[in-house]
Amino acid sequence: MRKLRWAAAALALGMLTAACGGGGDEVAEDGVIKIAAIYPMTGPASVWGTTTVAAMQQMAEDVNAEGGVTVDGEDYTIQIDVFDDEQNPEVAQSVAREALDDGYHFIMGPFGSGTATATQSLMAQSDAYWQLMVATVEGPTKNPNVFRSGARVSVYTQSTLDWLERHPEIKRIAMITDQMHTGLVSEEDALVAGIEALGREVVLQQSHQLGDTDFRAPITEMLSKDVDLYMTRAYPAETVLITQQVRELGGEMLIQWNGGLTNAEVDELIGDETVMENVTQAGPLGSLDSFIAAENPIALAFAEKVGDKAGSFTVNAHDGMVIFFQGLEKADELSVDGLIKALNELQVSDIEGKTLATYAPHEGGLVYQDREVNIEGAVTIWEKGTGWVLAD
Amino acid sequence: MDVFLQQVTNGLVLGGAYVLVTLGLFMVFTTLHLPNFAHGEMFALGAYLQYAFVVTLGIPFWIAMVLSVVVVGLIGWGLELAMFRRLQNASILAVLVGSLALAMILQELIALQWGQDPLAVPLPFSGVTEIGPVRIANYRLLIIGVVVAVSVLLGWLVYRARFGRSLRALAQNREMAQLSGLNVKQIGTITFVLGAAVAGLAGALLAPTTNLNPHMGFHPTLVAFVILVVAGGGGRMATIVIGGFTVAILETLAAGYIDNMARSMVVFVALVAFLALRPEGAFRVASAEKVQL
Repeated sequence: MRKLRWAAAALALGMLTAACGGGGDEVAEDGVIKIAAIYPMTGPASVWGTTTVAAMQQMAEDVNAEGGVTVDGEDYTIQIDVFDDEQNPEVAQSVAREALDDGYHFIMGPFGSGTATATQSLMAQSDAYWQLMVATVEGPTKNPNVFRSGARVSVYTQSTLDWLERHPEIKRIAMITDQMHTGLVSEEDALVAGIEALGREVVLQQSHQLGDTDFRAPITEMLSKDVDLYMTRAYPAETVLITQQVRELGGEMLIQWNGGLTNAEVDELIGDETVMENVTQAGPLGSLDSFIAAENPIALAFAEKVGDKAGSFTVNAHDGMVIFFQGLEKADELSVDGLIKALNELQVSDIEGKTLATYAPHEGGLVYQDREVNIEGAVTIWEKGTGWVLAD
Repeated sequence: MDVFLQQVTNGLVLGGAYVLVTLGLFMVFTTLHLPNFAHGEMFALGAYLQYAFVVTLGIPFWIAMVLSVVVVGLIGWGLELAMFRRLQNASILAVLVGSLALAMILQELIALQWGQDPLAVPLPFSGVTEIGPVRIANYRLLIIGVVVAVSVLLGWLVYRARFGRSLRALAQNREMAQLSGLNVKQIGTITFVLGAAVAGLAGALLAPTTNLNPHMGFHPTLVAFVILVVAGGGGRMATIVIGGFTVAILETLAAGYIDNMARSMVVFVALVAFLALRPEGAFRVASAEKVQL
């Protein structure tokens, strides 16, 4: 009986400790709002993680230089602490737990669809605010504390369909999809249905895996089908190899990427611009390139600041931070609930002229509906000597 | 375009990479009886050194290739002296674990030096040749030519040159070779350096046709082991060349006519089926324990 009493006491003590522990309850310490950024800083996706985080940090520096964000009459500076998830679902879960244990109330990320899906249960269990800037996968934003400031995966599909509608000459379409790309795989049926609804024919649907390097066999099969458009729905490294090998095997058709490569990445990975003839890219405009080509003043100024740290998702990071800062400034109090309430009431007019991407208003002029923004994608085309420009 | 012939040509192009990687592994495995799982990292190092010489230092492509081969050969020498020589009398499990650990260390070192982002080496020349109904890039045509030339050269070295006799003696019976006065250590070192250099050549040569990443050596090494297993203990060098091209053509036809995702599976299904029917490999060896080069 005595043992039982001791056990009960120990259990009670444990529960008390757990209730008191698990990170601090202060949303800001010493006037600093700490943000946990869960991004791939090492591993194959690190090129995106490092550039996205660099843009977020630049935004934080900019706002801090102007005195920080004002919430309920108080000024706070922003501090971004990076957690490397290596774009690995298990690591993402682990570092997300670490961030929560360390008492972070504001979490940006994870970056990818797979890692975002893996941490979805932690999002649901936590009281923290989560913001997805790049991950396109459906699901996480069903949680009331998870907001997405970037595009949903359907934007990739819609960009392509809108563009195809303007190009009736494109009749026969083939596509190759990376089976590791959770978002693009989930959209494949909708894409095919949309293409067929436009009266075009999907003559071939192929698959590949992340890390493949030899695509000549599926490309040869595709070339035998006499297609007008070959869609490479893949990550950048594979996208580049597929494109090079299509041209090598004599394919001159239009190619459409979803890889989100910047001008600099094309230059580094492809070099030879003749390969890029008739290459388009569909999806949300994540890189600064097409904005710079259009002489957008925000893009020009921001490009100067981030320099060679600009990447495929610099726009997502820039605009995501704009929305976060606006949400904080509109909040009645510095708390997760205060921010969530403010974001749910945020008007497009509040961020107009501050973001790079165009956010179409939801009903009532709201930025968010069900924690999703209404962002439009576009198709860009490679222009020799310039890089990515908006396509007709 | 004739689709079937083009697919076979695609297979030949892919096979060139497999053959070059397997040849180096074959020499080390048959002579020193070391299943070196870090062999793929010699391939990766060749590619990364080619990148460093061509892109970072601006050295002309062909000179860079010679430098890459020499440096990888020297690294192979260092590894043989520091590690593999000591594993000569160790159990097969120790060699497997040791070489796997070495592979991981080398991958991490490559990642530390060059990062994890994919890198590209520019082609030294472009252009495409049409041979009847098939198309092949001029550079890939050159790769096939180099594979054939290297195979012939190594074949001559092993089966015609004096050094080859020593090599084969060592492969057949290490103790007897030692007793008959051969400098076994020296032959072992030369063989290892040669194997690493051939893998380095493969990496440097193939660098412009792929994206470089620290793990790029894994798949070719896996395929190389498949070819070695299929060839069996009595397999000669020609078997390796034919095996490399056959595996690649099989893989390519599977990708083209079944499903691109099935390409590796078909190769391994074929391997399992083959081993079930002929567990000793294509060529039996006279001795139960020794292999024949």
